[in-house]
Amino acid sequence: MRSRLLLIIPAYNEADNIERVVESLRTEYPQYDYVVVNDGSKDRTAEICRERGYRLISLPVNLGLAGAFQTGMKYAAKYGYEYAMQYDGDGQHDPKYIAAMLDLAVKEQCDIVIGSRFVTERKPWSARMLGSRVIATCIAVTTGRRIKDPTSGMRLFNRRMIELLANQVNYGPEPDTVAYLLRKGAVVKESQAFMRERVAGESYLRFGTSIKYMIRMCASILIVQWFR
Amino acid sequence: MSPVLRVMLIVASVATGFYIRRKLRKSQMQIADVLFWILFAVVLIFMSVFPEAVSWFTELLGVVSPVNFVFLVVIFLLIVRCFSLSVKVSSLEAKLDKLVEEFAVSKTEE
Repeated sequence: MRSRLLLIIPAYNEADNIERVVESLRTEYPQYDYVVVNDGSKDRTAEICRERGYRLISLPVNLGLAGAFQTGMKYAAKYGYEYAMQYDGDGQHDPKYIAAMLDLAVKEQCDIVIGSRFVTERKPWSARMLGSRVIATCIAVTTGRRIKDPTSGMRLFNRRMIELLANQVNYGPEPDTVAYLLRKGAVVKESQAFMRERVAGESYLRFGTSIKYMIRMCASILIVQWFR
Repeated sequence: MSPVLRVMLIVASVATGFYIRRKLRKSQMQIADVLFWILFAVVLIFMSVFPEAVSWFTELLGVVSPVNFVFLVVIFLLIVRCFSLSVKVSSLEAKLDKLVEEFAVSKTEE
C-alpha cells in the first residue's frame, strides 16, 4: 500500500551517504514512501541505489537542486501522494521529526510545514546563521510574516503545493518560493527539528557559493517579488 | 546628456520593466535571468535621473563627453551578459547532446 507521504531525496554525488540515509528510512521508518532522485551524479550514487533496489529516478544530466526536486514532485503528483517532503540525501535530516511535521500539516491544514531548527531553540549568532537572519528579514519585510528558519531544507508540502511545484517555472525549493507563496496566501507553519552535521560528501551549498546564494535569495525576495 | 536622451532612457527602462513583468507572470523567464534586466533598467534610470553622477564619473575617467560614458556602461554590461550567455549556451548544448545520446541508446533494442 502506498503511504500518504512521499520523501523526495535529491542526491548529487552522494555515494558516501545515500546508503546510510535510505537504509535508516527503510528499516526504521518503513511507513513512509521515498524516492531518490539522482541528479546526474558523477560518482556511484545511481549504481548503489540500483544494487540495493532503492526506488530511484536517475536524471541523465545534472539539473541542479530545483530540477531534481521538481522531478520528485512530478512523481508525487503522478502517483497521487497527499504530501511530499524535501529530504536531504546527505543525512542532515533526522527522520524522527517527520511524524510531527505531518501531524501539524494534517491538523492545521498547512500548505507548507518547515522542519525548523529554531522554533523552541534560539538561533546562534554565527556567520552561517547571519545569512538565515538576512533572508528571514527580507521575508518579514515583504510578507509581514516571521519565518524562523527559512533556509531549512526540510519542507513538507500538501497536495495543492505538489500540483503547483511539479509543473510551474520559478518554484524551486528555496526561501524565495516560500516567500512568494506566503504572499499568495499559503499557510506556512514551522515544526521543531534538530539537524545533524553532514558526515561525508559535498553540499549543494558550499561556503563560497553561500554568499552568492544569499544575495540571489534577497534580490529575488525583495526585487523580483514586485514583478511577479 | 541631453534631456531627450534622458527621457528616452527612462521610457525604455520602464517599458523593459513592464515587459519583464509580463514574461514573469506567463512563466516564460527564470528569476535569475530576470534579475539582470531589472538591474540594467535601474542603472539606466539612475544615469538619467542623476546626470551629475554621470558627469563626475566622466571627468574621473577622462572620457570626452557624458554620453560616451553612458555608452561605455551599456556596452560593458552587455558584453558581460553576452559572455555569461555564451557560457550558458555551451553547457546547454553539452546537456542536450548527452540527453539525445542517452535517449537514443536507451531506445535501441538489442
